[in-house]
Amino acid sequence: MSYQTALAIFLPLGLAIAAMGSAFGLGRAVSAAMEAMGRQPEAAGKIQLGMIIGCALIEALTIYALVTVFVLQGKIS
Amino acid sequence: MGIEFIHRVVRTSLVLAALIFLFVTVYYQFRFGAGILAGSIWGCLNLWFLTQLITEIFSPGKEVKKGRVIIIAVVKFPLLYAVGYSLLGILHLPPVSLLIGFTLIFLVMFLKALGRWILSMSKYKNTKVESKNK
Repeated sequence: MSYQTALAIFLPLGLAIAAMGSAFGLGRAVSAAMEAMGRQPEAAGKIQLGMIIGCALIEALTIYALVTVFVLQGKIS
Repeated sequence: MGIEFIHRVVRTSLVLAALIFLFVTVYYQFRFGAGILAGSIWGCLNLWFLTQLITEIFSPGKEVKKGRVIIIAVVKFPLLYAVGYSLLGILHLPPVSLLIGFTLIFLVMFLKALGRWILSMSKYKNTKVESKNK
């Protein structure tokens, strides 16, 4: 298997894995935050802050994967 | 520490990105500096829209304004990502510089949180000393 073939196969696969991991992570984070807000509505501000930072970090990882795919995509052909 | 922490992080990141842009432009390359600035602005906008979306949807006891949510979601997901794609694919800014700019906001967040932690530690120590003196 050549370098280009390996890239063409594994780049979309890697991006899909990153997107799936991010989706699971975001789902878990938001559901846990909603549960916590339901139990303690008075702490909603702090929970929201944690949720925003967590969501931003999870999203950032997917964006890193996306940019890496864009960079490596140019090396396929 | 509430949502205002995010606003302070965004402001600090933008100021820091502008300073880094000047330094990188003078000492290295304009395109690399512009990439860092663009990445940072993109990251700040992304975080700001995420904050608006979460506070709009997940605030207990607050009525959800559907129109506002739809506008934020449309601007954040397709439009902002299209801008990101155009920065990479059309303007051909260096991807590493964009990533550095995008990471800057998390670095600021980390350093601010570290600063708060260190300050709270010293505050705790001071109160302990004061109570011992009493």
